[in-house]
Amino acid sequence: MFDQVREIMLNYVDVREDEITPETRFLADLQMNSLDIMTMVGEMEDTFGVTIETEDLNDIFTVQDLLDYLAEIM
Amino acid sequence: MNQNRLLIKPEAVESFTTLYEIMTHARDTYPTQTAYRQPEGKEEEQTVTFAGFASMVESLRAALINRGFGGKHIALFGEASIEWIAVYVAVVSGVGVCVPIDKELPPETIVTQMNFSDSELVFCSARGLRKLQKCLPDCPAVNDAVVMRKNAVSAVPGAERVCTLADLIAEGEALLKEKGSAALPAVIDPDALAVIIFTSGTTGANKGVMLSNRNVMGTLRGCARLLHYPETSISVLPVNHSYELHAHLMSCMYCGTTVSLNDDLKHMLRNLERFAPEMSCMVPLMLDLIVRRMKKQIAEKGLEKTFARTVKLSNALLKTGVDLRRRLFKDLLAPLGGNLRMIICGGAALSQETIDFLKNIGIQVYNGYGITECAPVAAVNPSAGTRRFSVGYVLPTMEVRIQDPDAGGNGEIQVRGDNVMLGYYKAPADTAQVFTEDGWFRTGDIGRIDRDGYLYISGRLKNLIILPNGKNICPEELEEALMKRIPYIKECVVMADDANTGLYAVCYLDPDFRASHGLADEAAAKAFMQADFNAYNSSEPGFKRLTDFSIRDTEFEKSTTHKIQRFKIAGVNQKKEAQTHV
Repeated sequence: MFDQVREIMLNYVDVREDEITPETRFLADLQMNSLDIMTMVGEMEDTFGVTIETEDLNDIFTVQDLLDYLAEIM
Repeated sequence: MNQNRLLIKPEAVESFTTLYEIMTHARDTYPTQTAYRQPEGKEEEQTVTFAGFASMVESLRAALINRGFGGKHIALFGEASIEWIAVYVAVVSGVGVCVPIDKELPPETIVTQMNFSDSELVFCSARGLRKLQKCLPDCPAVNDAVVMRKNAVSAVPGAERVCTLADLIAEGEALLKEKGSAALPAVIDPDALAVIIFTSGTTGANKGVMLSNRNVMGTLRGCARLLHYPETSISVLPVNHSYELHAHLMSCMYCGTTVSLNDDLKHMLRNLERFAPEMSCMVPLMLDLIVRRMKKQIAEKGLEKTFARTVKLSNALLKTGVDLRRRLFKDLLAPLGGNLRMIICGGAALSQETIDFLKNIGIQVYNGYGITECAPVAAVNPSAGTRRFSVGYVLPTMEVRIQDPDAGGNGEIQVRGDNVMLGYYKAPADTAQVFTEDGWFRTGDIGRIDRDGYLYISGRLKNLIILPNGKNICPEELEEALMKRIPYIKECVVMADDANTGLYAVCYLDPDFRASHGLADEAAAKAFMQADFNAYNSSEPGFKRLTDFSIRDTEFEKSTTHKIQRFKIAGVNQKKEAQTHV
């Protein structure tokens, strides 16, 4: 799933593929803004067929946090 | 084809002073035309005609008056929906005072706003109910709740009485059948308080901007005179914002435009493609995202040079009156539905490069300037001719002056006219502060006006941070919250980075705390604070989250009045400063 998540993330950030690791932080490392994150989450909902609650995003800081969350709801 | 829409000439409705008149005008002029389209999942949708919408509004007005809510303050909470808009129009049409609440706010702020605004009834969407339930027990004056977009509802903690919107509409329909127009409010005073919209204040607490129907109509009449609204549009901004609500949704009703409602910010791109609108109102952040994705699409196919050549050719043809942009760039426009040709942009500064890129491929951006206190549009580039780097003409419903201009003509922008608010709710001192002795509203923004009447913004007098998503951030509010949450921060300053995309905190920690916890080393202090910083972010809505922070070893330099001198803070580009400590 990490590869799929990273592929979607690359639509929103201008970094090399190997610069995204499970430890990467969305805000501090990638400087993603709130709209990038929301739109990216919408794309992940479509890709993985899940519904991601906006409120749940409050506890997601790193790529690993997101992977754990997706694994939990899928 | 909506031929009726072409009959709408601004001068024909110049005399209108209330939103109710606009609604009845829309009902009578294009009754069978679709007013709103609302997605129900990925495939289905709910629609309502202008006549159907007016019928909902009338039923709600009758039911609210019958239940004794005439003159009361009524909170409105939830995502954009046909029901949300109907409740808004109903409440401001002679029933009471509407208080739109931002659904993204943390529960304690929602409680503060509902209590401060003296709300006695709350309308809440089914999706917002979980959050609202946490708030109502702390709102003693709110005894009634109406749930929108839900078929049935059981008890809601903190509310004595609860019903669905459908119940209320059915009740109103029965009343209208029985009593006719006698069931409706007798008069609508265009100058009476109709809406309280919360905006960022400079003293920590949000301020409630009081608007009348005449204020709102100032924006509608002004925008309709400067802009030609097309037949279809999509609403993607938060509905509780004055900009989306008045400059877009209400203006579209005024012009007979069908609006599709985006059900969630997450689905903005999906719904743009699905509803294929001709227009939208957006904030710079959205335009930046759209342009970035288009550039990526071009780069991935290795078409940068081809694109540049095509733009050159297209612009040359445009000069001869041949417009092939929609055909030449159809692959780029397709993900936006293929019809998008007009975006009104406001809320924050927008780069001219973004405007130029979109214009080159066939999307005209009408950049504007507004402030909640002006209901909210103060200026917008007109359809008749946009001007580069300008935020357009000041609306013809207002007067503008530049106070104490410098050699370059720049000074504080001051306005007066129909759009200007009644004042701040329960804050006469704050109100007095923003009006001059001769009655002009001080916007707090600095700008100049050129020979032809176009306005240019060049700076800001207040500390407000305006993010590209249009959210106004009062840094003092965040600093106070951060220091409350992390008590060992002695002083801190929150700022935006140079690109204005992120919020950063520079913190000075209590030296005794650092000494007693072995945090003399800066990196150790930062590592120690990181967990508390993350916990703070978790409790804040997305737009108030801080991207990063740095620790400084010395107190901030203060003025003689003991205020931190923000402009003297070392490393104004605090983003770089913060990154060096990561």
